[in-house]
Amino acid sequence: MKLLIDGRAVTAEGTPTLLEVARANGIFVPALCEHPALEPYAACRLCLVEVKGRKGFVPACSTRAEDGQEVMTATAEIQALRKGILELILAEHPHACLICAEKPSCDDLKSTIRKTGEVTGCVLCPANGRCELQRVVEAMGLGLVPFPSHRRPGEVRRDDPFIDRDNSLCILCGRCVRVCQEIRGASVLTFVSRGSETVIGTALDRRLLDSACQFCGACVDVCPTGSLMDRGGRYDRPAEAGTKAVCALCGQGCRLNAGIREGRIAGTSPDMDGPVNRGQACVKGRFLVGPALSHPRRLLKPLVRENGSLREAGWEEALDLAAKRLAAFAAGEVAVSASAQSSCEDLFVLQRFAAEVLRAPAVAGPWTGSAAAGLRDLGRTAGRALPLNFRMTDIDHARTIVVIGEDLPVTQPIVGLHVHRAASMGAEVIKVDAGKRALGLVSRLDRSKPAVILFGPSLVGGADGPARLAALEAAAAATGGRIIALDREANVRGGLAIAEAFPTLPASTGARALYLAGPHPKLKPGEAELVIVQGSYGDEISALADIVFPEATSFEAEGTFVNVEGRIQVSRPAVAPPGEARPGWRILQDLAGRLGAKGFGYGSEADVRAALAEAAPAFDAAALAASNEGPAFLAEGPAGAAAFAGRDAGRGRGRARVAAPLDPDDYKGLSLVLENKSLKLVRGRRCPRS
Amino acid sequence: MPKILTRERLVPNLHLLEVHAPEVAGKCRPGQFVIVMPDEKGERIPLSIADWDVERGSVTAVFLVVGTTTRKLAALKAGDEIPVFVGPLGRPSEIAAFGTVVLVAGCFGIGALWPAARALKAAGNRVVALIDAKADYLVYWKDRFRSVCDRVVFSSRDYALGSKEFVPGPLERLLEAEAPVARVIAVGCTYLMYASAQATKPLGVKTVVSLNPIMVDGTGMCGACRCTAEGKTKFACVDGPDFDGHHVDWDELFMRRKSYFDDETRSLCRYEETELP
Repeated sequence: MKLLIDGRAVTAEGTPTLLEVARANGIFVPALCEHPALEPYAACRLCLVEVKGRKGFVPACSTRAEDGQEVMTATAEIQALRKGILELILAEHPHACLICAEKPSCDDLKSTIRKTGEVTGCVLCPANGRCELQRVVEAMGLGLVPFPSHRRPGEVRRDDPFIDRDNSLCILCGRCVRVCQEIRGASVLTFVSRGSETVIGTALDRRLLDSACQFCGACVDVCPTGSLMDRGGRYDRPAEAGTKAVCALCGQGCRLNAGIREGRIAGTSPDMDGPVNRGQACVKGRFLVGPALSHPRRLLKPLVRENGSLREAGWEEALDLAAKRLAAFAAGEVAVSASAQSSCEDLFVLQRFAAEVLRAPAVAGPWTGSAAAGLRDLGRTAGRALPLNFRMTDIDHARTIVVIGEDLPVTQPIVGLHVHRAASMGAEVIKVDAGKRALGLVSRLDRSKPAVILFGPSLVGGADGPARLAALEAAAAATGGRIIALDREANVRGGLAIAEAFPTLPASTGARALYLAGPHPKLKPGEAELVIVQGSYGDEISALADIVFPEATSFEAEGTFVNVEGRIQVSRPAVAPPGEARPGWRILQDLAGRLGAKGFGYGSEADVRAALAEAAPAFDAAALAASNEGPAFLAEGPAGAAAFAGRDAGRGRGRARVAAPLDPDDYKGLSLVLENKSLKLVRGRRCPRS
Repeated sequence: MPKILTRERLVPNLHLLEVHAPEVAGKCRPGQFVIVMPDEKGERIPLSIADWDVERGSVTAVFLVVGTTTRKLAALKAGDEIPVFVGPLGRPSEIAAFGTVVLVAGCFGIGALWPAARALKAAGNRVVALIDAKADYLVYWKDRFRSVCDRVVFSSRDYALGSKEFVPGPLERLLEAEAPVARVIAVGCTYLMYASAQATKPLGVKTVVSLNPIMVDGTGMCGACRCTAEGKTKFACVDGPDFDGHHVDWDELFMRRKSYFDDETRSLCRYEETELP
């Protein structure tokens, strides 16, 4: 369609609003209640424009562009109107700094007062420099607010974890209320009271903790002022740089913007263009990445055991010692465990190291017993094409959704948002524990409504796991729907696909040595002759190890992750590893070299990926190459490959048998819920699940 | 240990602290300060004395919540005790019959200048107060000042106070209207005192400022509060806190005040991590 905006001919596609068309063409129209993720609301009235032939003024944010329209965005009358509206907004917002002539010198000289408890001006405000109201005032120019200023009563509320609420800065745009309801489905925040006494609050003025808040931080992210604030970043200076990283704290694969200051992560927020999360995150991705990376339990230097206790060592010494000691074991004598929170690069080199260098039995990884492995095996046994891949948006259109055994906001936060979206479009959502009742329930599903059944690892365990899964699958298929496997860790699908590419050596009777690059059941002192730990956090297992290698986390190294959907994403490092920590694949490659292995001379993560694509057909080279730009998914082989059936039967796993972890807040051995008192409060409200 | 009699939030961010300390109260003079510790593990900070009551045996300070220690002070209640309340410290402000005196007060300085306003009036001066605040709701003790001052005017960014300018413009106009003005006394944030001194310098009106460098000991022993005035190194605690604003090295003062900004921020974050959910 063609329009005329301020005399300029512009074109537009689809059904955009006038505001969207103006912005796309670089025409400034101020707007404070509008947010690209939310439905138009037209409350702030700043975006009023004139459309020829229409009476009065229309809000550009909620008016659809039409072919042939003639729009005026900046007539003297409109500007006067907007100015009046802005002045009224500012009368109730601490505006002194916005109109103060001293601002330039003040910014230089008053830096220490950023730490004040209450905000009475921009220089004291945590949102200073990132405030949308500030930007609008700057763009519109304002010399005076010709109304007495009114401060909303009350002090900053700090009785909740993670989030401070300051109603004195609120402009009642309603973004937080809407994101909480429209996108998150939580409806925790709402308008309280009426007229000039209206404030944002919770039902009965409870704390967020007592109001079913998930502490996802979406309200903080959409707040145009400093009214809702991430407490952790409240007194920080703005970040010096930013980068994007894929969050590895769960299996969703959210892309985060990480602020960097002095080489450390200074806060994370969801990326609006993240292909999975589209501007949303969860409490962990939003508030806990920085604290997790700088946790005091991080392993910073290689450690070797000497005279019964661990001491710091250089890399050369630790690697030499590990190589010397590993060389003493024969094929099948070293058991290896892997983490489903490691990148595909790390896991591929680990698998190669285990198979070719140590000639170990199958690497034990949390993908064994995972929901995805269960579904894969079901398809193979039945000889049918059961897809593991899905898209989050598939869930939106389901008419019935059955959630089995997963507390979505905790374990699958983004899946939870899509379930909410489907529900708001009329889908029936049924939540049930992974017990017998689940089977009875799904057998009675309405066959006229396509059902999506979501299940987690808790359903596939036990002797009757395969049978239960088969029953669910049949029930979903009968409605024309499907079942979706949801695992909890960042790279279960990647680990599973890589493991497929490696042959399994016959099981040994008992491992004499352990190479632990992942979770391991409780270790008894003297249980193995040699224990090597490659990890990011010290724990009771690394304390018993003979050699400890400090490993970079996924936020500190480049790495590929495959999320629950089967989506391949390459995460770039946000910061350098702390201390002397190194990426896992480099540690393994250096060790392999010392043990005389050939073909471990990868120069970079990209080299590892090229080798991975060659070895594991699921990662075809094109998909890996595309994974930075567009969506790339694991290739799913032709199903029905009956030849695969039973392949896993009788797999020896040495002693390193791993059960699916019960703690969804575990990150590489660090239990975020136990280590962070704020998360503990958030999670503590829920009934523990088995 | 000294007991808190009153702790109240006067306006956003500014709190009043009234402490039972009869020995201190009996000796207070305008312009002096006390050193306070909110708890046994905390730091020592100086607070300007805003009032005292010999009969009640109490000393009052008004402080801005601007870091860990003031956050701790703001969390105290009447009846709580604090381990350290030392004073009065510093040289008292010069009080005499000068003629017309203009007081420039902002933030905690509104409280800190109150004793001087009272004393100057009693000494027979014409006392004019220029009170600066970002908004009307941040001004406290209006009535007190009106009760002793011959004239009270405001500089603010708020329509309710009929002004939108920061201190310098209104101060220059006052000096013209009230001429001859014998001296200006400015107390508040460093920026307000600096701006006042800059405004009066070309007019040659003596301007006294109450410097507020980082201070630990308060009795001239530690040297943390060193500043440069009249070209010489001075300790604000024993040589001041009052100095001639036209001869202060302001750049040095601003710089020294920022010395521990990162540590102060870290300390506040740690305090919040411990104290808040």
